[in-house]
Amino acid sequence: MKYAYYPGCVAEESCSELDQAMHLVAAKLSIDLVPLEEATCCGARDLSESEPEVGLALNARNLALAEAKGLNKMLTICNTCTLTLSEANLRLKTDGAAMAAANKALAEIGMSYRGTVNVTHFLWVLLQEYGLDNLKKRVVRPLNGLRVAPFYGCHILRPAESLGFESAEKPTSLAKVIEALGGRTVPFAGEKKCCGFHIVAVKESTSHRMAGRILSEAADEGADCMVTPCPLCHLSVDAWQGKAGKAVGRNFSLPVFHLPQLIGLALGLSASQLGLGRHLVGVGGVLQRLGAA
Amino acid sequence: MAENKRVKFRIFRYNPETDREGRFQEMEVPVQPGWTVLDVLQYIKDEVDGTLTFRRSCRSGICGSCAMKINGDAKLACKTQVGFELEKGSTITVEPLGNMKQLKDLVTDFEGFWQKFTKVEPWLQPDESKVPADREIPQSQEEVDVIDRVADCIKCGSCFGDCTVLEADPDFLGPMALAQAFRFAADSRDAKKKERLSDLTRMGLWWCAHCYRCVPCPKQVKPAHAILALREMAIQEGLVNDPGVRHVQAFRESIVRYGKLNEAMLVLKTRGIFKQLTDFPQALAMMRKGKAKPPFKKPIRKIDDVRRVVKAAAGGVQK
Repeated sequence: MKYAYYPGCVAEESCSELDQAMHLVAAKLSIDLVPLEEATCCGARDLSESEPEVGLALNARNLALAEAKGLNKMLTICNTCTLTLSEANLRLKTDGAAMAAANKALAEIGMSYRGTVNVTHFLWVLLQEYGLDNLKKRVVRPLNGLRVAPFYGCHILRPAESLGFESAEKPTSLAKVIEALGGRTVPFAGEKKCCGFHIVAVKESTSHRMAGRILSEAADEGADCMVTPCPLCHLSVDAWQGKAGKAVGRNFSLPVFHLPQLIGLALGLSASQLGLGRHLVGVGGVLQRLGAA
Repeated sequence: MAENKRVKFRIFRYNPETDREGRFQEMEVPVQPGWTVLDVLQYIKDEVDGTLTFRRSCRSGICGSCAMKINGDAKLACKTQVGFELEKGSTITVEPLGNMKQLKDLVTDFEGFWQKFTKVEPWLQPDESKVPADREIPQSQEEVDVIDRVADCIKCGSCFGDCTVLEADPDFLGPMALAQAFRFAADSRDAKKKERLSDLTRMGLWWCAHCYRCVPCPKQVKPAHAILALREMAIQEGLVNDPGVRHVQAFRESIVRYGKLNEAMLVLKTRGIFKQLTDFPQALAMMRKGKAKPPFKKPIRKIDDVRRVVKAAAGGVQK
């Protein structure tokens, strides 16, 4: 299994533990991640709203970089990258004028995009291509009934018309992975709510209240920890957990794992290999419980 | 004829005259093939408990009266097939809309919803001197197409009830009011475009977190898309003195300079140096974990390629 690897900016900067864990987990699962050294930022929702055509051309370039390496699948580990790239790809593939305009810009640098790449997320790869049975076979340190709250966030689910991997109303993919690893899923009201990341620099108090409500809902259901497929969500509910708690008048201590980290633990990787020491909220309790401390 | 199927429902009940707070009532209903959730509620009211209170009128997705939360998502009860909801689980939960005061059972108070609608001045404000005395102001089909979709809004409250920003911040205008603001700001006959965009910027146009909870709209209005369009219009009108705009601009600048996001620069440019300094404890905590990166960054290889693509795509104008 070979993928053009698009970690996104946040997994390379403040959440570099995610990138680190992804590489180790991919090696364990024999998934080949081919780096795209010249790829740019996807522009997130910001470039899509200020200059959609520029965003489209840059993402056509990102997709063309994968195509030029003979790869037809691009794997991301960030919800917002998944949506932004999927949306751009869909538009390029279905809107001839948009494809022509993007290719005109790419012609300036001697590149072109033919529309042969599909964008996917590591979570989707696990269910769709790798297979949970296959994953189960490699578990050496089962999560042992650990109560894990699945936090999907937004851009891996909505808008469904741009993504369409699973039901945006009742997603189940994270729960299936948690159970394949031997954990127990803790359903909670905030599973598909917004973590507030995208307005943290614009309306900080609101952003932290949004994250605080999600953390409250998971904590009240008795979760031992939370797992997220998105580094932006991780910043909101881990790095800023203290502020989120203050915003809703509570004091949380809920460990939050990046998806590859939770899988890595079950595959026997160590806490330091998975970069767990980089989290703002300590994960010691979970590690002790799993005998991974 | 297909047989009835007994289906379990959890229905929110609340009577302000007798209950301190609401509770869920569980009941089994013999559902006939093709029934909607509204058919079920009407059956309960007619045959089981006449006190069950909910709003409904047209039963065909036009009036917008029967919006409520069904299995956690706001939708019109009259458009929601029981069979479809059963795919998610054996019990169907029905609750009042979120982000509104509960009045009785499934009925909520729309007062705040209408107040926000009024705030965006949802009426046409043309330049009176250009209005012909003897006829309407004509519009081309293309001009109609711009606002046609958002003009379909039936004010059902679904998007408002599910808005995740409103949940945390009651001051936010919310998706319906913003979509309707777009309906007038983008109307070719309206003369107040710039004032409208300026007011909206002040009233929180940039607070939407684009979570897209409002996109599964029963009438396909897709408020989130209207909000993105309003932001693009606001930038074009030069309304750039807002953290939201500075954020978008810093994003572009970062990509053109480095090819990637420079997190430190982005935050600094959006919030300003003073705000950033007051947040020192957080910055220090993140630095200790290696999570705060310095603003110095090397551009990616082939950054010149990136700049040329951006320039070409932006129509040759390097902003």
